[in-house]
Amino acid sequence: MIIQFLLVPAVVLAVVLSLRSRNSVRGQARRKLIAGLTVVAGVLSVLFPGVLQSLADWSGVTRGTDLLLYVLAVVIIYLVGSVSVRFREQEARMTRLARQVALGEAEARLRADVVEATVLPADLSKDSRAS
Amino acid sequence: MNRTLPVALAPLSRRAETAVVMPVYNEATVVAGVIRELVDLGMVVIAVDDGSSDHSAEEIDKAGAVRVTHPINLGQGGALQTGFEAAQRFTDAKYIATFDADGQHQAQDLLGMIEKIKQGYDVVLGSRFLDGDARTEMSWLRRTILKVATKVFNRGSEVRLTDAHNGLRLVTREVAAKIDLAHIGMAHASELEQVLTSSPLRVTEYPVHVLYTEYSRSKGQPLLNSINILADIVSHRITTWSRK
Repeated sequence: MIIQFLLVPAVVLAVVLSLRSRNSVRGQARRKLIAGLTVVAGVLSVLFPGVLQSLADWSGVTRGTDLLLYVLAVVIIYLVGSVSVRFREQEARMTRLARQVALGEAEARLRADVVEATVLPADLSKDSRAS
Repeated sequence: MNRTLPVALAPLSRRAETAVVMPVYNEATVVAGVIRELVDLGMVVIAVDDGSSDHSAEEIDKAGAVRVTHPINLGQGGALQTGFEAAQRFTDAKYIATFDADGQHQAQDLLGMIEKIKQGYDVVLGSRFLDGDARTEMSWLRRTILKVATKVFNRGSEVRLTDAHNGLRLVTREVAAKIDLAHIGMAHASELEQVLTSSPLRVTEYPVHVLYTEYSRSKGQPLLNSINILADIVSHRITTWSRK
């Protein structure tokens, strides 16, 4: 059965390629291309059901609808993987932002403490001037 | 590395030799005691309040730690990374430690690790299993999973570690400057270990005693979480593998 030789590598490739897709112009273009191709293939398979069936016959799948299901499954695996990578990159960005906010706020608070300490006439101020 | 502090911040360093990074997430009942013990030993504690919803922040301030508060919860890895950056920015400590806020680690163990790093190491990692297994009590399931995880993570690194997931660590300032954790959840532990055991560093272990109290047990991560960690690591490795 040809389909087995096609589907197994396709699933593996979908997982690996999607997890390695970057949130770059290239990755975005690839995602859009796949989405577009899926739509075109969908329309064609509606207009010419015979094509799908003959493709199924060639690859050793009983019905054309089954073939469609397999292809859709691979496409979904790819899209889920690449969306998760994008999500992770987004999360990393948000992390850096939150970290800078936290460090900035802490620094402002620490500076305020230092000013307070130097203004106080207590021995605390002597200590901070000495260092 | 930038070791000079802004003049106005210099008094904050308190000329402490060791800065202790402590991720805090809803630990209001215990955190003050843990911080005080370390401050009394002359260390400066950087407590990273990871968006706690209880009054952990007040407890941290009362106990005399430097508090850095995340506006949102970032997970333990995110908190550790923030702590490492804060320690370099706000102190001039030579050594930077990580220490759990729930009281499971012993200050005495950290003192021993400081002695050890002064013998010329870059990294000293606490280990529960170095000392003939006896000191730390844990269930056989937890022990087995930790040992298997340790074996897996040892593959490919040059240093053989006996305990892959211990929160008590001590590194030099130079090493801390190189740490850049991408995982913000719990998978950071293995990521951190990967950075710390990379070749030119001199790494050693130090036997520590971990106290599993009722409290730390209730706060600890469920074992099922190891599945999340494993999945995180695998997908992260596929993503970054041979990527420049």
